[in-house]
Amino acid sequence: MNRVDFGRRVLVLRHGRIAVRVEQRSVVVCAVLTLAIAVLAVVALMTGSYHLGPGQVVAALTGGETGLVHDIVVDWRLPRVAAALLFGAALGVSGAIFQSMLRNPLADPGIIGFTEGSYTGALIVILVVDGTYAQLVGGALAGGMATALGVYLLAYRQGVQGFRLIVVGIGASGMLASLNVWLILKAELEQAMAAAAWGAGSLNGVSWDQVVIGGACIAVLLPASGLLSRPMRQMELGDEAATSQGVRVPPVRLGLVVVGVALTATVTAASGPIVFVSLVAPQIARRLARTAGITLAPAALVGALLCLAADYIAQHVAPTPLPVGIITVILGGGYLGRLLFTEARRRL
Amino acid sequence: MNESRLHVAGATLGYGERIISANLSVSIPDRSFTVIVGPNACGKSTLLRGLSRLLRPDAGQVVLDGADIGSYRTKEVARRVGLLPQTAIAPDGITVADLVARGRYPYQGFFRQWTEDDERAVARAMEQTAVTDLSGRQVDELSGGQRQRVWVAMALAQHTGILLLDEPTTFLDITHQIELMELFTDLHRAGHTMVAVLHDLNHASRYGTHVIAMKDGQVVAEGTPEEVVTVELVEKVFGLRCLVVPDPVAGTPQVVPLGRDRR
Repeated sequence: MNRVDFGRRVLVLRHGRIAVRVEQRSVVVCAVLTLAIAVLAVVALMTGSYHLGPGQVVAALTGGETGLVHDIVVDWRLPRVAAALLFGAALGVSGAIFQSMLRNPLADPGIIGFTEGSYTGALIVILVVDGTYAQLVGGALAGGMATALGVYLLAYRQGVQGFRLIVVGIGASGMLASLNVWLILKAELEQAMAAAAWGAGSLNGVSWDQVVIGGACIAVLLPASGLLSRPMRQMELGDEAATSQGVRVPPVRLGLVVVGVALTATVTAASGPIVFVSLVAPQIARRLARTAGITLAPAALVGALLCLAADYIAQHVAPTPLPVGIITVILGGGYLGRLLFTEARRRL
Repeated sequence: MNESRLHVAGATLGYGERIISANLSVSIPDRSFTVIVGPNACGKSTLLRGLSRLLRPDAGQVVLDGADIGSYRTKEVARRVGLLPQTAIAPDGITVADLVARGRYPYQGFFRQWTEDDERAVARAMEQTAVTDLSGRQVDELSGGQRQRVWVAMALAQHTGILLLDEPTTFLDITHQIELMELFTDLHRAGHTMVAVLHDLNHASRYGTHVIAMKDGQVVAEGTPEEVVTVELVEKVFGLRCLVVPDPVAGTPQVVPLGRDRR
């Protein structure tokens, strides 16, 4: 029996040099989310113009099928499902990092100008260079990173405070948004449509190459975020408290910005901006797991499930196949509205 | 001369161009309950920030256990000096025990997050601050006085010999102020070196064992409450005319302002 009552059930595991404490509810929520993801993934692999049974899907995944079924599952459908899961998890963690760091439930990498900046980069490539898809991705990344860096430096004064970062970021985003509108107005119709297609964010035509490259980046960034998560949670107590408890706040904050932006950048490079997942996943996760502050693992799982569900709806439920970004906007917008509505009601 | 684990040696403290204290030297006597007083913007909070290495001196140094405080690993400082800041924020939905457990950070690592020692320290800190019964409650639901005791428990769980308190009683009603000051006295008696920035001179002289009076970034006087809290000093440091009479309960110096209408 634990000597300390945490007000919730906790599981303590102590063995050798390992001593960890986890909340039971978080473990259960993560397990249920994982199960839901597995079921939905199998359903997504079954669904399409050539319908398969769950047995066929599982057999194809475990190497028990060859020929057409194997090709459909592994070569055609799996990249898209894998992309939705990986990218969703990356976005969920990215949002969680920013919301924890800025102590603001409405924060995501967009708040330091990444989204508008990457769109500006993409637009310039489309309009000025009339470049290839690879150049477009490069332009978007350069634009997003440059904006994020610029905002970080502008907000820098003997270290970076969350509030200053938000204010500078909103200012920069506003200016870039008007620049984007101006660029689109100047563009030819075809160019504007190409820009809009990229800007909607889609997993259409995602190939194994993109999944592997994006997956490799995410495979580095997720453990990095895991290492930063303890000082990150400590910083939720305020910079002064965290410093007095032995957190080196400036380098940790820089690390968090870099990892958070890089996670979103990876996804943006592969699929265009899939918005709102990074905003809502950490908040949904927090409400499900009822943790104090933001936790990364549930946010990653909710992000993955949300992205997979949104892509399934975009592909199979919508009357005509849509970019996944449209569905996440609808889901996210609805959620945001509800959040604002309940917050407003609580204040009245 | 008293022994001192923590002292400031000729330090210049400030924020960028704005210098608050130039060439400041001050020692915190070991096992004292040191209270720093002075008018607003006299540099008392800045001094506390320097002592807790939230603020790096532009010149000179802050010395902890014989070495420059900046030369230690941050977690090592956190095992020796604790701070109760004014600005601490409780994350949404955090419970009391969870918040107190955050004080164990300097002893933890990626795989060592909750050892027997951690558990004992948290249980003990909650006992000392009488918040054990609140342990499972959410911090948002507590009253101001309870919440402040929880923050003290978090700092205690950090197991530091020296505890710095930045205006700990601000925003509390008088009953909770006294309750908290008595808690600090208990901790002082239990062997902690306590350093508090306070506004209330009567609290300073009743509970402090060593008083440091500051004005314009410099130490004007220091010593026992009887030595420091005098009519002359209060007039000099605060520009307030007053009487100093023995506190009818504790016998320590008590400041009674004369005010505008009295001679």
